[in-house]
Amino acid sequence: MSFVKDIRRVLVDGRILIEKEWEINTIVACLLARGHVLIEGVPGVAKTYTAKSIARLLDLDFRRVQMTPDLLPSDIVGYYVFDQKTGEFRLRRGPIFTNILLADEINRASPRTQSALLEAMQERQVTIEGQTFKLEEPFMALATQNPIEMEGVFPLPEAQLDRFLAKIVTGYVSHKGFVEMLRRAHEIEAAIEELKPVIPRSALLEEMARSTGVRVDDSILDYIASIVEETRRHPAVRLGGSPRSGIAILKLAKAWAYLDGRSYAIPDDVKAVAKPALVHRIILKPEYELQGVTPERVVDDVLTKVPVPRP
Amino acid sequence: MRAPLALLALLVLAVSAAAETPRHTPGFPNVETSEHLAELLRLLQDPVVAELLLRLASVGPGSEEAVEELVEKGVLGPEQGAGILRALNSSIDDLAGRADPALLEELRGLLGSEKPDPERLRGLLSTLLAMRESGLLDPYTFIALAGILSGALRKLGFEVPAELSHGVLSSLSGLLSPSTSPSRGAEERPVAGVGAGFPRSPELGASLPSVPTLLETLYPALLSILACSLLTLSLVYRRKRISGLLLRLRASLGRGLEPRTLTAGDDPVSVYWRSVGLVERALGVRKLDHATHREYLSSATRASAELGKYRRTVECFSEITRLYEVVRFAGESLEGAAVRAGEKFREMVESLGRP
Ligand SMILES: Nc1ncnc2c1ncn2[C@@H]1O[C@H](COP(=O)(O)OP(=O)(O)OP(=O)(O)O)[C@@H](O)[C@H]1O
Ligand SMILES: [Mg+2]
Repeated sequence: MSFVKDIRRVLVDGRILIEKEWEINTIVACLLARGHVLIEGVPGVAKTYTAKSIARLLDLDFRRVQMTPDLLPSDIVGYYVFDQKTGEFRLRRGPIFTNILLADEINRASPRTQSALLEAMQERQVTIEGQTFKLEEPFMALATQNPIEMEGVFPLPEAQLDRFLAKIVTGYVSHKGFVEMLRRAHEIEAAIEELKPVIPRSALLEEMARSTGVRVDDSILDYIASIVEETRRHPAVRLGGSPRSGIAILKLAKAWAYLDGRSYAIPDDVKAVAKPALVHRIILKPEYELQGVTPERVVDDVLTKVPVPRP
Repeated sequence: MRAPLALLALLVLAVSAAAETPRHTPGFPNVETSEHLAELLRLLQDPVVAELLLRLASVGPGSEEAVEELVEKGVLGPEQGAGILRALNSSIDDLAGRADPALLEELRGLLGSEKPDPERLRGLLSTLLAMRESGLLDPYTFIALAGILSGALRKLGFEVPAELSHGVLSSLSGLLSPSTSPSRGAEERPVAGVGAGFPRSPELGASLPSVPTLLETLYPALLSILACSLLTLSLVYRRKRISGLLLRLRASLGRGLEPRTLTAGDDPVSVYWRSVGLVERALGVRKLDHATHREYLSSATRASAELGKYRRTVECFSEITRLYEVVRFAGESLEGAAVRAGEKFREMVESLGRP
């Protein structure tokens, strides 16, 4: 709704984040749909900046954790410490107690820590020493990962990947955008620190509730189901979209429609979100992967095969 | 002299029908597939069948007999034959249920007048052709209406225009029985001439490309033949049919379709699909099955900008698209949407006359 226009005005028109409009839109859509995002990109493509500036504009608390192999689950969720003065145990909340959590390089953390984080993301609550704590609302995790396979990483298993509502693959800006970024490098850094909220947190929560009321025609549900089924039939695919991926498309399409100021979804919304909703859930046959086929291409293929609703 | 010329004309017509197949409106049956055309080409090797098809294509006197004979020869299925005969024997009123009411009103008005305006008749012809191509008219109704129209034209002393025969032939190509016995008969009785280049004997067939492949390889050549032949045809008839086709379509639609004729059944959804057919034809941009309404609108807008014309057409289409979207996906029975869509449709049709 209007707050997205404001975000776009500040970040896109204000040239703070260059050529990141799609990423911004998708992240905000995930937030509305109460989902989490996996961001894939090489270092230095403004992943942190994007997350941070969205958090600031939405009046949200923002924390960042650098995932490393020695990080323990308690380093994320929190733990009790003994307070010598009072003689009592005091809860030290981990960085997960925030609105937007940026978990940098999630695949560097040990599988144990990864699964603790993913579980908390899913349940929206954590248990410390047998005591359960609800996480704040809204809560969204943005996990980043480097696409280049490096040593000492623990790739996320398929089942864990399925828990991310969307995967955003972000890359370098164009040459022209790059030059502009260089020209504005100083200003950009200062501008991000000075960003003011464009919407109060309470209003954002209302918008989130309202966005679930977007109307989805039966023919659109049919369209979504056909797309997911077609990914399973694709010759290059070993494992196609899960039922959960269909739900992900639906949720994201509704959010996408809402952000566009509509109270109803159209096939274009489905097309816009199909890639981020599907790419991390499609597993290719190795022989096709070797030939350079990517999940993105599979989704493109599928979208040009499945007819849109008619009449 | 006449027969080879007629065969050449038929071949050309068939190929030109093939050239138009991509402009198919989703949601409507696509009758002209390449197999149909290949079948047609095969049939044309038999001079008797070719003569019959030619007679039917000119929808003049004797076309009913031609249908019967084609059924007898197995070229047309009995069902298809009966369908054509039924349609040929229908009155305009009988056909009303199957075609656009506005179109029929126009046809009835013209035929009822003492001295029909030939230009309007020709305009009507273009409308008919456009509706056939977009799938708005089923082949039977089209053949019947073509018969009525050609009758009227003959009465005025005009020859039956090539486009009309072409349209009938294309419609017929979708009704032909697949791999019928007479076509196999034709294989047994090879004729020299047009058929000579196509594989016929089994031994040859194994090494030679199939007809569709051949069609593909010969496509550029056939298209140039088509262009030359159309030029010749237009010289013969002394009319600039080809270039004038669209202009007449626009003019006739503008005159023929009054908003009052866009009634109950013409909700924004059906108006949308009708306008897609017109935009496809005017701008030459096909709506692909996987393209959304918004995507198609941007393609149309782009094409119009590139051509530097049809700006108003696309503006109207944009509004029709918007109404379609709201009615179709928001589930709203938008107040006055049908009326507005009808108005925009008429405005759009009028704008086609002034690109
Ligand atoms: N598209 C862009 N628009 C504006 N600034 C950009 C863009 N791409 C990169 N930058 C600049 O690059 C620098 C690095 O950004 P940032 O720290 O957000 O990257 P990152 O993707 O989080 O990197 P890492 O993977 O190392 O954490 C910042 O100074 C940022 O301003
Ligand atoms: Mg970073």
